[in-house]
Amino acid sequence: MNEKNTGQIELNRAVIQRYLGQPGSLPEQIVEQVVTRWNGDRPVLYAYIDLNDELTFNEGWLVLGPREVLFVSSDRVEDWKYVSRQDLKQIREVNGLSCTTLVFLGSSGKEPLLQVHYTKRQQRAVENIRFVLDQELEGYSTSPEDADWVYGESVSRGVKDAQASVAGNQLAVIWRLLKYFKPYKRDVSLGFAAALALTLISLVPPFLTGYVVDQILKPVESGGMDAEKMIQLAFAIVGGLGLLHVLRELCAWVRLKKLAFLGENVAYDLRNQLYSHLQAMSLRFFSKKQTGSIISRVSSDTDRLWDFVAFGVVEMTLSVVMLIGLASVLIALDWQLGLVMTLPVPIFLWAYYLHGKAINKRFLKAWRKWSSLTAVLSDTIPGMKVVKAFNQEEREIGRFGRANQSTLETFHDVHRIWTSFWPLLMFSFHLITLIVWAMALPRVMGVWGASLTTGTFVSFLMYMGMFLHPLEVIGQITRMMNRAVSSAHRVFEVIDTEPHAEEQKNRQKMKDIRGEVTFENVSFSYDGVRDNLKSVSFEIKSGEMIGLVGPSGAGKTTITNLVAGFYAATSGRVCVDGIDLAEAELGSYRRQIGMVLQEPFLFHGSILENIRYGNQVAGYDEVLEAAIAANAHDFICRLPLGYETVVGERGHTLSGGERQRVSIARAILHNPRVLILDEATSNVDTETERKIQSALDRLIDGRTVIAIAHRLSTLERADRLLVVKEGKLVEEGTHAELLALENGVYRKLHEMQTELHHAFAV
Amino acid sequence: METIMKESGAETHLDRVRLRRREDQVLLAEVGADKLGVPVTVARCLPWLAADQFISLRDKDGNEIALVRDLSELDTDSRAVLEKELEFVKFCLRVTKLDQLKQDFELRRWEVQTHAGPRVFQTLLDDWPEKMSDGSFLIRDICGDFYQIVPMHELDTKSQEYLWSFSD
Repeated sequence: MNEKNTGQIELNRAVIQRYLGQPGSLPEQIVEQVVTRWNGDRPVLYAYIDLNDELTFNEGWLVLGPREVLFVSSDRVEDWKYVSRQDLKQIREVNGLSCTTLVFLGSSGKEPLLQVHYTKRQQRAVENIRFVLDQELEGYSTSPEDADWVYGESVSRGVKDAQASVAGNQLAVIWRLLKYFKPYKRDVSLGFAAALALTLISLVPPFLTGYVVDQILKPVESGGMDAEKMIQLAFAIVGGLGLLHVLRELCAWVRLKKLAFLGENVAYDLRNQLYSHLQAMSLRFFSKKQTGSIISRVSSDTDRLWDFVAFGVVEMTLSVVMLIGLASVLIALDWQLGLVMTLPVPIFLWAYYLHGKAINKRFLKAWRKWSSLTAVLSDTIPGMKVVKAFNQEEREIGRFGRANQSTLETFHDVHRIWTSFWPLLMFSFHLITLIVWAMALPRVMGVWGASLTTGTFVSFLMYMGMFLHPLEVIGQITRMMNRAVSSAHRVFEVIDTEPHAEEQKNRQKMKDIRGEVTFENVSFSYDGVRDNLKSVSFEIKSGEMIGLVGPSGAGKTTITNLVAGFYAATSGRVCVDGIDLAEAELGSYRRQIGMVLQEPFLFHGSILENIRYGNQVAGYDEVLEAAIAANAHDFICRLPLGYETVVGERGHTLSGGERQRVSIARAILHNPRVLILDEATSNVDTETERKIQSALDRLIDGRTVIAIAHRLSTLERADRLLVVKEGKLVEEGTHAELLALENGVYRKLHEMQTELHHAFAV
Repeated sequence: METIMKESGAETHLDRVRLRRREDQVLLAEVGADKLGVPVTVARCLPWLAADQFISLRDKDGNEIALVRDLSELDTDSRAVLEKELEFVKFCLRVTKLDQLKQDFELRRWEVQTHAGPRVFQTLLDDWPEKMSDGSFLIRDICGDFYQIVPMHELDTKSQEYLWSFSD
């Protein structure tokens, strides 16, 4: 087992224990016992069986050994049930809503050899065992990967697919994020120093005010200071205050400039790193994640991190500094009054926390209601024709009205909470200031306790006013941190996902291929459980045109995906010119293959740029020749801006047939040795199909072509047809040869299409 | 109400469908004079609104061979067999108490007591429990398991507090 696998097993174990509350691997005492019984052989696969016969939770394990299957259950510890794999004749699965039963059958009609019940959570792990046994019953042998790894991947997959980096530590994520500051050390230091200076400078004016009251105004009032000295002091103080304000704004400018730029730079670095990494990922990664989720990681998540880096980190740090500074100054000015002000701070923070919890609960409800409201809109607006056709306008108005009313009530509840909280909080705060006044005034007047100067009291009052803001910021720290950490998690998840083997470097370069494609016992599974291709073997000669035929879900597109090197075979070899694609440098190989898909994808840009996508140095004459060959030239010329027409996102400004012909022109210019046509003429009218077909006829000349077509008539030019069914190659031959096969799959498909054609013709 | 059976496009009456369980636990439907029986699986058409009505019996290829409109239309033995099968088919984890409900990154963590024992599960943040006609709540976790939370009034105060945001 390599280091990477060991790390993954540990991570999976942690995920399973933390998120699903079940054992992360097979208990060691079971492993020891079976290893002894199986003469040193370790479990091949295992699964956790979480329900007993009464359908209550229970710890059980289903363990697949080289020759036996073991079931051990915590409610029958003495009863370890072993079933010989040789005795198994059939395995049957019965599905309930949240429970599945796997029945191991021996001789037909006899009682089951074993029967286990489990929830959907264990389904993948159990299916792995079932798959191996089913394959054995069909005469195939399989060699699963490490049992701990397979169990961990199967059970933790639900959590890992749903969540970004799991089992992470908040502080570790923040620390990692802060490492992105490294290239900008100077800016960070300057920005933080300026922010700190700004905070400290804010503490000076109240102190100066107190000084003015005690050292200038009072002596002036009592006539204890001469006019000249008074004027000198007044000017010095005004000058000092002026300087302070200049300094303050200078610091504010440095802080804003440095940190805003820093945040933007960090977000820029993250976006670049993220996007470059995405380009290195295999299609397997993109098939697992939703497009929206990937886009939001590059856009809104990095934007949220910018906000956090630029302001969140600083605001939080400075609020803590400010609060500590204020508390220290207040206690230093007068410890009794200082304590009256600072002791309730933890209570205020606690109140903020509780308020946050209460409001979040209500926001969650409000968000639900809001979603229901928008669901009514997204239902009815696009379906307005149906609403009107069934005369259901009144019903829809009522449905929207009820959802709207419910949303309103929930938002009223939200407003009720915060509008009550803030006045109550302010009142409590003012109550404390009232206590300060009540304690301070007798001392200022000299009627009770130690004397307090008017200036100190005034300073005190000014400092008190500065208390609320940092409290508010600190109260929101948890929310800010959670949002930022969540975004960072999502971004780091992509950055940490290693490119799959098919995308890695140091492989054999493929130059000027002839285009001979060979499949040698190829099996493939997208999910690691079900085989989409089962031991498929065939050869395609250079320059041959092959038609792939079969019902939906038979495995046709999977074959083309493997030929294109988008996925690596689970077992067996996919070779081009005798070189296994698993060993080939796919970049050099893909430069020589072309694809025309059912849904042609054009990028935002001009038609010229789209045709040149695979060959950016092609001259204008070459582009035009390709477009002429693709029957695209005429419609392009009719556009006001010709080849410079911008086609919009995904080429939406063109019709389906036009997009297809541009994509064929792109493929012609790319000049591939191996060409894949995947339902290239579906979803278009007959006239357009004719144009596309004649363009394709020109495209396929002299190349190895693998074509999938729903309409069998479009494969008439094919040299041979491969018929696929349920992941297996079931027939192979020319159109005539296959039609001659009685009960043949191709013959049936052909007959069905002919009947359909006649039915429509009638 | 009566159960109908589809046989070459024709509808036949319920008394021609009998159910029994073979020794190897396979559920068999005997149709008309056929005494061998066809292995069938059971699908509920209205799993929540009419759990014991409109039960579709399907052969191994997924074709419907009979639609049981109401259990009462079956003979006693067949009914007992089907009821036992339904117990399994409609098995759903019934949540009786919420010990904790926490929000994690992109997931909501539920620590609950169910009729089958304690359970920890996760749902997506935007997957909210759906209120059913009997007042209970239904939610599906990220692994595909269904959980039916008993109606609010059957829960303790703490559980009610946790569920409050999803209650109406």
